[in-house]
Amino acid sequence: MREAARPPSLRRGLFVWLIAPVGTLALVSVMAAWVTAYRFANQVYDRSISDTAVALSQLVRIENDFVVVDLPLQAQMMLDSDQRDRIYYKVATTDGVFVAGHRGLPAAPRSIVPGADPFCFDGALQGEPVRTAVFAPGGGRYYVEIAETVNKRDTLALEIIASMLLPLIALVALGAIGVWLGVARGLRPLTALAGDISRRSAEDLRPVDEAPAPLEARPLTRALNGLLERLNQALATQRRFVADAAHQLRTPLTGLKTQAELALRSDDPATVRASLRKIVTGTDRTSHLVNQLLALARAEPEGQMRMRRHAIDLTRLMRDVTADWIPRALGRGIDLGFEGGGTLSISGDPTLLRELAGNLIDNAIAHSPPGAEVTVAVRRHGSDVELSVTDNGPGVPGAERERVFERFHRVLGSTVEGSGLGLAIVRQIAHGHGGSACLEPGPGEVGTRVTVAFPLAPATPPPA
Amino acid sequence: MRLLVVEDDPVIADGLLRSLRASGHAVDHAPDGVTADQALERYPYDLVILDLGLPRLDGMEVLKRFRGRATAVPVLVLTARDELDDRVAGLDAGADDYLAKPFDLPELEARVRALLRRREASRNGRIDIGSVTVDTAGRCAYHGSERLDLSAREFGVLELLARRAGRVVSKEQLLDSITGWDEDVGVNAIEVYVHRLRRKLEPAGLGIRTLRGLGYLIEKPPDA
Repeated sequence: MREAARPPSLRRGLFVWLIAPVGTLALVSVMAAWVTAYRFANQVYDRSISDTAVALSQLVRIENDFVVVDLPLQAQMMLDSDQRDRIYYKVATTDGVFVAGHRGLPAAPRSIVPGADPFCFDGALQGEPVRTAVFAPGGGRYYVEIAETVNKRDTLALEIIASMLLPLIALVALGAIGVWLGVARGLRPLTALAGDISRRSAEDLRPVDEAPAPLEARPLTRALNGLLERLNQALATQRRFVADAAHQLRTPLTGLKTQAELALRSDDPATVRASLRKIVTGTDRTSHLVNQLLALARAEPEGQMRMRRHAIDLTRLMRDVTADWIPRALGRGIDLGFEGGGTLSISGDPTLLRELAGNLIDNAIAHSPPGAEVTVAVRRHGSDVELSVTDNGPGVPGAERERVFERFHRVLGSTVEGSGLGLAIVRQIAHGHGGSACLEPGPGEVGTRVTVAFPLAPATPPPA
Repeated sequence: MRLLVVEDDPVIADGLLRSLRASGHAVDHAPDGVTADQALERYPYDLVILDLGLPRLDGMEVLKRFRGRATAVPVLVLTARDELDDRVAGLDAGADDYLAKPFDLPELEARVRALLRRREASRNGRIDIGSVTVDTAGRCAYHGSERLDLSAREFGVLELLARRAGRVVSKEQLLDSITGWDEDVGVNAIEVYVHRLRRKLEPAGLGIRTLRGLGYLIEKPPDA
């Protein structure tokens, strides 16, 4: 099994961003300090061995053309007096003939100039690093070397490096602690916010308090509050709808029960038949309402997300739907017809589109008197395909034309039985298909026309 | 006629049995899919009314097994309305008609009569619409005992309309049914045939309706 990817961490990120540059800086500093510290240590101790070399040169005499060294005991003791480093000396002629001291000292460089200031160089004696000062007095035929082991120099250099490095280490450590605490402190309002939200009940959709959230987290809290607000509205709509639906169902159920009780109480067959007939129509109304509620649930945005969309020839589908409604129209003496031709494709779900058209045709038939004309038409309008259902019935008053799309809204004074959901279903399905629905008077300000516009599917070739 | 009602809801089953028995049929009842499957294997029914949501064995499965035994017995499927989307596919699985719940009893009775009549017609090749009989085998039509004087194409139009009585038939469908591959007949010719047919059917009291933009329809006479 693959290990799950670690989530990004602010703390880890900040550590990396702090440690990487500071660490590099520390490394460069140490290297620079190393060089500087040694130069400094050499400066301090080179003077001492140079002075010793000059002092020793004054003890050298030339006798009978021979170079003679007369080293008093005091001078010998002075050379041995250092406790941490050993000091060696050598006297030799400029021709390279050894005179006195320690033979193993490195030979003087050829560039040595008699009378010049003493100069120092690094070398080794019996495998041990030494610093050597060399001095040739002016006009002399000899030179003097003083070599010293480097313990004091190492110690001084290390002390200098340590004194530079320690604050740097302290700085990194303090920075790390600062990051750790700072992140914890910075995130505390968010942790509190998370606690607040997780302790909430599912019903509590009040906005979260933005005030304690850090400035950087404000977009998050703002988005969260926006979502809560929308959720609240959706829930309120849903609650209102359930309450309305329950009320709408209770009414016909009450009627059914009343009629059934009347029938039970009566001995007169005619009265019983009358009640039973009312029970049948009442049941029809109730089941129509239940069907409409189910249709509306299917047309909900969440429901439409699952819908199977594909390219549909709207002309053909609507011609089929219209034909299905012919028996109902003939039964009510209504002339139901269809207008349209040619293929006009939209992307949609055929079941929902049938539902949409069925509601429009049902409404038109129900609201038109016998002998009226109802026409279903499909035509192209720019980049849209328009489905319209037109009747020459009594029409809808201007003030009502938008409200009829609301759930459970029924036109005042209408005697037609209906659930008040038909046009709400139509609009919801239209919106789910990226379309729109509107209601206007029919041609010549007579009757009603409902037009649903769908975006034309790209598959349809442009008209020749 | 012997009918089988497959329905698990006792109230609906009771209503169906009473109504169909009152129409003079012998009706058996199967309350679940397994019982239905066994009954269908054992007895020669003339019609099956099948609910899809069944315990023990799904109605679709019952239908599939029944059609697997290659019988021409008509099946009327009952289905809850919101199942319809998926279940209309059931027509392909071998149902002859379907009815959504809740249904009107008169509607169900009419569908049963239509299915039984269609079965009868396919057996003897005769379709009755009102007082007119269409003899699909002899390719002629009678008003009572009087033979109607129809051309071959007029008969073709009448036959298709009669087969789909009460339903809309488009001009294109009529055209397809009366013309062969090599014949070049325009859609407008259909109007001429229908016009002539109307005149000839008038004495029999049979009307052909023109439906704007849709086609034609012979109205089913009220069921006797």
